Amino acid sequence: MGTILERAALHQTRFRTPGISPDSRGVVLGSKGALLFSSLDRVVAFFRAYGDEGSLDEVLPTLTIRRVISPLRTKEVLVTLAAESSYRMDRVAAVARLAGGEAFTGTSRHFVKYRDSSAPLGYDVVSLVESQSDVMLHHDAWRQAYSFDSEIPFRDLVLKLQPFSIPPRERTTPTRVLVTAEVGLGHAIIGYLFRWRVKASVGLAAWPSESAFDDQPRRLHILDIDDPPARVLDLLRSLPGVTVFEPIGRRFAVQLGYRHPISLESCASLFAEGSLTFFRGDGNVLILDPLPPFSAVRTLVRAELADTNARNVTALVPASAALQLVDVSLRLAPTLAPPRRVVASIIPIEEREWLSKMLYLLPASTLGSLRMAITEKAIFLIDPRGIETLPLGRFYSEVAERIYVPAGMTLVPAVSPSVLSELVSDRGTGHAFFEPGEDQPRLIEAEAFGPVSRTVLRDVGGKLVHADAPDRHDPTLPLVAYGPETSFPLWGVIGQTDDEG
Amino acid sequence: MADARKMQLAYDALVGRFLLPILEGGAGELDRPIAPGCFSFFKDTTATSPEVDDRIFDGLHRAASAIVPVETVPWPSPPLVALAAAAHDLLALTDPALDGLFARGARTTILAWTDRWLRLVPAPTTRGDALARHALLGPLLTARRKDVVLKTWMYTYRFSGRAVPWTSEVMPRFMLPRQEVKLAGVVDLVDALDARTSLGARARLEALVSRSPLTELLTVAQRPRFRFGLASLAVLSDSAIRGAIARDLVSTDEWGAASVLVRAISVPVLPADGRLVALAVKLLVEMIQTRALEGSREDGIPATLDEGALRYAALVPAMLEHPRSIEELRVLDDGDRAKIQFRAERLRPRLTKALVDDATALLDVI
Repeated sequence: MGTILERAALHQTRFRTPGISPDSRGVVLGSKGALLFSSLDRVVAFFRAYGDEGSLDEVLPTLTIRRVISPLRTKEVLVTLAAESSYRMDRVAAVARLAGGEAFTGTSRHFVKYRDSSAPLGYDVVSLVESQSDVMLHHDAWRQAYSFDSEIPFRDLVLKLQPFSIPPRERTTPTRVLVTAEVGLGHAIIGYLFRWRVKASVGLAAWPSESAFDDQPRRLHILDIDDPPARVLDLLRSLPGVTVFEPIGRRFAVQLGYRHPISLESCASLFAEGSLTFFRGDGNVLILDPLPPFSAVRTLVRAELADTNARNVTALVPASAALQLVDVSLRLAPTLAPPRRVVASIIPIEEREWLSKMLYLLPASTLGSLRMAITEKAIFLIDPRGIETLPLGRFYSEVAERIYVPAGMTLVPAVSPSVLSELVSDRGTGHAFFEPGEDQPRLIEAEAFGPVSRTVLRDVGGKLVHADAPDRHDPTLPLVAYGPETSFPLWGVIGQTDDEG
Repeated sequence: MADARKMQLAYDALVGRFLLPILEGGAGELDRPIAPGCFSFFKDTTATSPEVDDRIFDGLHRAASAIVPVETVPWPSPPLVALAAAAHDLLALTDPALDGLFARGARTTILAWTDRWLRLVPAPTTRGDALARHALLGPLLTARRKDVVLKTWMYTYRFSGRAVPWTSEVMPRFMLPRQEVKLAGVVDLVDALDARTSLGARARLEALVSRSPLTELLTVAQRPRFRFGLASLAVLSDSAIRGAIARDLVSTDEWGAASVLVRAISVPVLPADGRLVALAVKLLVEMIQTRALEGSREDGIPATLDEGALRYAALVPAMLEHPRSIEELRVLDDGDRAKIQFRAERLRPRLTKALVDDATALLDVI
């Protein structure tokens, strides 16, 4: 034992350190615990470990985090909290030592080292040293005075910590996700979720812009999706402008695939009731307070009125129509049923530039499964895994093997897929596309479809997409020249008497 | 009706013969002064030739986009037209022909018109407006007047800002004509006018520039009496424009600009609102970070630093030692952060503890 501290004895009641006394177990305890860490990252490590083991909420009401400065200008971090009992302090001290800190106990200015294996009942100082500092820590090997520098609110610390990526093998599919989408994408996603009958609700959140020049606030669609299918999640995660979050509690969510350094469940009281805090993987935090009203996506799907259908309702069926029933041919008709197996798309050849640009943005997995056939008037695309990742052209559903109809339409009479295959028997190994306004399906040979290789990209684009900076326009320095010289320059100048209004 | 026709002619001359050539790097012609009474007509009209408006829009949009990508610029718009008219009248003041016996009194009238035009230009309210004003005023401030002096052994002819009505070749050889050409910048012209007449034209030029906060900030090194106003702080609240300003200042005159900016922060009016100070301090911090990121190995610290520059220099070590430096600087690459640290150590011997403490207090407001 050094000359600074001495071990407390059993039944000792008088101590030199002000504000400490033995508790029911005889352990020396002040009303507060103080934890000294050399840097902020060790403080974070302490809260991570403590939050994983127990609840941070119980220490938050009395918790303070302060930067402290020694007389030699060394900066350290001092965490103080209510000691409550030696049971709590035992756990706090153990976790603090694990994170590389030291634990002390005291009441106001003087703190002595908390008990350890060398002194099961704790410590008392040998002698008190007078000091004008804000806090004095007495360790068995040293004594140090500190002055307070600045306070770090625990909430600020939590909001500033950047979530870290979870290894892929540890990721699980959540049963509920929250999705933020830029307003331009929101309605498309709402329509998509409705078509696939995914249970979801949506709200519109707005934040004031930081810039004085933005004439409207920043807005995002917030989607609350229950039981999202894995393919929907994969699609949403791959979309730029869309971020998927996993709600951990009622008041906060972390980006899917990331985890916050501190166990947020253990400090839920930090987040106000009726608010929602989103932690993005890049460290940005979005706070919704108050929550916007949410509504089911089915109520927000844009309804479209089809003029042709409306006319059909009022138009009388001509009498001769009954005679024509003997000649029944397959026709396209609109349907309200959600489209299934949307695996093909037809892109007009005029949009080949857009397609070529879009191909540069597609992930490798999509490019690998995409098959393309180029004709004079259109480009045919087939992706057995779903074509929605390429939002161009008109989408087609596969209603029977290698037979496609536009999404949102069906063939009438409603024959079964096997019958349909027989009806379109002359397609061979090719693919048949029923297009609106055409009596017969368009057949594309299977050999015409190939993988989207670099060669195909060039064929489609016609010219390479480049991202060179445009030529810099650097005009010459201008000159000013006066007009004709007059003796009375203001004579006849218009607007001299008018008010500028 | 006749007045409307004359006003349209005046408008066409302003935008077609003065503004458009200036924007395209040609010679802008200063026609007769424009009275502010025309504003009620100018604010609702457009150029007779749609091509003129299109080319001005292109010029403004090109120059604005070179600073910050912007979707559109508001041309034609009343503030931009009034700004162009104010510049037109201010430059018209420098015409030596106004020194004539009967024309001399016109300068006072034109100066009053300039003031009234300037009062018709409110602070910019959109990003496009702020950028367009700089796109308009930037070339105007770089414009020059071509002065030709033609000397013979008998006479000396001076043509200031006007074309020589004949060429020296038509003069007889025995006259031994010699021609000298000089180019005088707008600021020099205005200063020379003040030296001759004490009209206060330079103050009007400063007022003209203050109507474009972006121009004011980009040329802050030439404005030792610069003070932050709500308009310039509104510009700084836009992170894209603030970044562009920081890049431009660092690439031109980092220390000169920083010195003026730091002194402007100290004006007692500004600390009344911490959020306003924060915007100005953010610009200084971005300048320090941009300097580290631009990749130049040359540190460029001047041999002598004035008070403002010293206070800017103190921000560098203060940034590194500030409690929040972990968050602000951790995004930097190790090499870039090392540049800031190296710079801080080079500057430290010139700094006192009080300067660093003041800088730390400034950083606290961010």
